[in-house]
Amino acid sequence: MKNAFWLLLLPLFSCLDQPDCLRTADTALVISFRKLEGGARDTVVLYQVAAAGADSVFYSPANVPDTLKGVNALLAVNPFNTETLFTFYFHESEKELHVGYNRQVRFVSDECGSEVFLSSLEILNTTFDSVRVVNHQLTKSRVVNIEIFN
Amino acid sequence: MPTGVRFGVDMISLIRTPIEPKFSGWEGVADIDFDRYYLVLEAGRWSRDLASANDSYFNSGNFWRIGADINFLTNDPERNNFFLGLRYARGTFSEQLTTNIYDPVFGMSVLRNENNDVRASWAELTTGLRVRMFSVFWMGYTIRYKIGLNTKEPGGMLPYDVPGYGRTDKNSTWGFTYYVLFRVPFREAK
Repeated sequence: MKNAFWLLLLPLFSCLDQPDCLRTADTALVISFRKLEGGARDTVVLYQVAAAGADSVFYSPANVPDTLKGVNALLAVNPFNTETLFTFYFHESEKELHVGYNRQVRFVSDECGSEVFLSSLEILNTTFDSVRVVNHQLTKSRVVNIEIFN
Repeated sequence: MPTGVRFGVDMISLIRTPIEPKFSGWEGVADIDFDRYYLVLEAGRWSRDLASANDSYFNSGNFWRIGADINFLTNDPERNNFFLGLRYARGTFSEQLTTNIYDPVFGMSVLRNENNDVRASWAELTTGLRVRMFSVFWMGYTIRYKIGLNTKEPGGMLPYDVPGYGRTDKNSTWGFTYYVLFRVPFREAK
């Protein structure tokens, strides 16, 4: 019995698992533009998107100088705050979108560091005609979070 | 009627504390027999102090478990145990995380978050051995499969490590305790 006791102990030390460096959190907000009538995807031309608290504008792609043309826009929200005010500059107008969210920090491990989860996304204020939140969590899967109807 | 009560201490926690700078803790156990069934009480405390390139994490807390084991070595003359059991566990802990975050758009900032007096509960399926070494001294170990962790934190920070349970990033986890025990007999077993 006492021999079995020691033998059974040996393999147990191989069961100690190591933390995974899996990260799912993201600070990218995916916005989809849709037509107000019918809801079909809409292609827009953005000259600039700015965010309060940031020195730089978000978009000036090399292939279309100073503009962004497409049906989706990928914006970075402020991870140090629980709200971000975006200003969208179109050809002859500008619109504002003020979003709020919950921020939670998670320590992954001493090897992997930490990550910031942004969830419970909501529209605080906007000058767009119609806006809705379709996904409240910002994740690396980069699914559409907000649909804007023009 | 019970024939005795055993008291034990987890040697892994005691050994880890002086040699592992990231960990400090202890854990004890007491059990009492009712024929082939054992009522088990366990309690302990641990703290962790971890750091990465941009983060520092610290936690500290207490925990206890109550449960029962069924001994399957009913005919052993030394009254050694091979058991299966269940535990219900509760804990209270606090943790702090300071992290330097760099964002390519919004720059760098330091976030400080803490959870204070967070309550946690979970369940465990257990198995293990208790072997009488000599006289009143016993040794043994318990393998734990921990499930159903529930924590109530105020928000701002997701718990990383719950004392008595371990890391929270998985729905279940394993634990292992290696006890040195002594038994106080009440009466001779039949």
